[in-house]
Amino acid sequence: MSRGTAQRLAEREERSLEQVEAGGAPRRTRGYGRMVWEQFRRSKLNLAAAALIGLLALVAVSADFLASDMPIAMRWQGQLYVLPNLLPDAKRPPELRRHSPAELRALLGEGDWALLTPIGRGPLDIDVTRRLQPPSAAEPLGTDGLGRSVAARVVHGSRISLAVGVVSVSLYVLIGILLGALAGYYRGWIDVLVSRLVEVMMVFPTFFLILAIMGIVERPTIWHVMLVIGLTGWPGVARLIRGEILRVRELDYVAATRALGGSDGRIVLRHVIPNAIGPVFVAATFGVAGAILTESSLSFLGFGTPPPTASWGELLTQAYDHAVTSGAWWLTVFPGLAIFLTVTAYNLVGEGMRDAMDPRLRR
Amino acid sequence: MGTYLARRLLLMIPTLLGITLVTFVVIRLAPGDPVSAAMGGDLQPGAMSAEAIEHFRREMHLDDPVLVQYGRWVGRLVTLDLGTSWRTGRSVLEQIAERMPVTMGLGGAALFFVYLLGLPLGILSAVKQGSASDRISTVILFVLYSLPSFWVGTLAILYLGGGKYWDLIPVQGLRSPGHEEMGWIGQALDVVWHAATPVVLLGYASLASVSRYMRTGMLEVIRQDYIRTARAKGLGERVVVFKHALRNSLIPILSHLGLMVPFLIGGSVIVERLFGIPGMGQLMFQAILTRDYSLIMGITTVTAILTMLGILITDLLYAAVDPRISLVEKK
Repeated sequence: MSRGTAQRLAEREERSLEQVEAGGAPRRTRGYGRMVWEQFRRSKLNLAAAALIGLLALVAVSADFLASDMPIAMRWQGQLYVLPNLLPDAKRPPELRRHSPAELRALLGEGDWALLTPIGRGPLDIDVTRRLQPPSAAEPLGTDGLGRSVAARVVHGSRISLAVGVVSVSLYVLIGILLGALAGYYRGWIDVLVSRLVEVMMVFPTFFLILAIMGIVERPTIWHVMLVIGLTGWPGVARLIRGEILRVRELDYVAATRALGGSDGRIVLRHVIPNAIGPVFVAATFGVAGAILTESSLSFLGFGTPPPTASWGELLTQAYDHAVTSGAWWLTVFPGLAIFLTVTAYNLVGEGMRDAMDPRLRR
Repeated sequence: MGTYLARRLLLMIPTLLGITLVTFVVIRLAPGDPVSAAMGGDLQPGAMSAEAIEHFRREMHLDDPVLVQYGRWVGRLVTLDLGTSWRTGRSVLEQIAERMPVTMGLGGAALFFVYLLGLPLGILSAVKQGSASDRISTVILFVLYSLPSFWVGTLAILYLGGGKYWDLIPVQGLRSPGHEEMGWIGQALDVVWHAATPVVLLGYASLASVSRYMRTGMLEVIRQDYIRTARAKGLGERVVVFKHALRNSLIPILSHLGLMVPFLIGGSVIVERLFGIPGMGQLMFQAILTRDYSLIMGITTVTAILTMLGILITDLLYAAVDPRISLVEKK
């Protein structure tokens, strides 16, 4: 321990002693994150929205346990099947392939048992004998135009939405931080370049560009969707970080770090970005909502997640195709509700975080 | 003023070049080209003779380096030649000119609808800050903001579009079958009747941001000294709000106006597709489906110019309403 540290500790001791003498307990400063959280949780709506996001993540992670045509575990004809619902399609035991939980149960003989998923059908499992059936006990959310279970497709669709939201936003936050930091810290030509690029992207009807790229890619996959949203979404974050760095880089503590010989990378990573990360979190939360909307719009137009993968937007396309002729309201209502609730939850949490970070609103 | 305008217009050129370059490079580098689109997406080996493909590609200069192709494209742009659509063989400019009034009309009507409803709501929220009506309108607008328009549109078509449920709204195009026989008043009413639902769909999500901007602007102005003075000299609340506060709090709204243009244009794809309206969104959709490069480039260029003009007009309006802002640098 250096002499300086010991001295500082002693000083601190003395200061808290003074406080005790003055009649107050030593004041503990709360961390910034904690302060924001305490502001955030004052609103029940914020907490409910955060809980809904957690629940959706849980549904997405456990989709194969909620909706699969395979059982979670099953004993049949002396053989034990464990977690066939997690196997890739080609490796699933064909002898267990059935179109409904009832058919699967009918197989069971003496001493057999089966633990099925609650929905009991997979998202890709086509059964044309049961096209466009309204919700019933066997099919809680009805069936689509190919007799697939809407419930299973909504549950598995949450994976696509969540994956697109999280991956594409992470990508553009990274790009935004990198470009924003370079522009704000080094100024000069790189700043001019980045600022011009930001301006160009802001003027861009981005949805057109995304659509054009998705339309031109020959065999679009979910990764293309993420990449395209990720590559077009960064200007907001870059602008935010650039502004913050311009503000912070002239402050005394940054000058102090520089005087102590801190490298540029250290200054930006350890001192500047942590100060700017709050608004980035807010932007990212709104961004997830936006990305989910963009993905479902793309899928709705037929340029998003390629079939037969389940996605909420694709279900709505079917709903549109059948809307006037069949009156299949369940195709419209459930996936739309899923998109709406998810987007609202992320928007509410973003709004809640922004308010919690706003010093003017602090109580 | 003249120099300012000239400088701003000149500054548009690099931005426009940036936008078109990005689009050009991206669509050329993406795997897939018009030849394979012509064959219905995936080009089966043997579906078209190798010479025919070769001829087609050479004719469209698809084998030149991307930047050379771009240079050629810019060269033609200077003479206002956006090329011809390879699919229909018609001039791109002509096709866009045909579709543009429809989309601009819808967008303009949507803007009108949004401000007509959003501004009073924002004023009401600000004047009665914290009241029940403030909170209720905030919640409702928030919900509208999170409702995807393609869902609401599908619901409207399903329930109100004359299928199994009610038959209240037209769901196809902008004209009824007997449109030609109507008088001009009848024709106008017919178009308005068809456009009403698409316009609402295009606009409702922006109500939240408009009224939020208005509310914030109003709240900031209403705390200022000159408002207190106005109240102190005994003016009625109505005069204070509408005559003194409103004018200044409208200024921030202008910056919102500039941002609405790309939003409305992007939204037109979905709305025009839902309701089968022959506008630019629909044209873009078809252009992408057929990988019609010159058409895609043309639409992107035109929309970018429109957006930039929108922002320029916003800035000019700023200077017009706010004497503190001067476009010409004072020396």
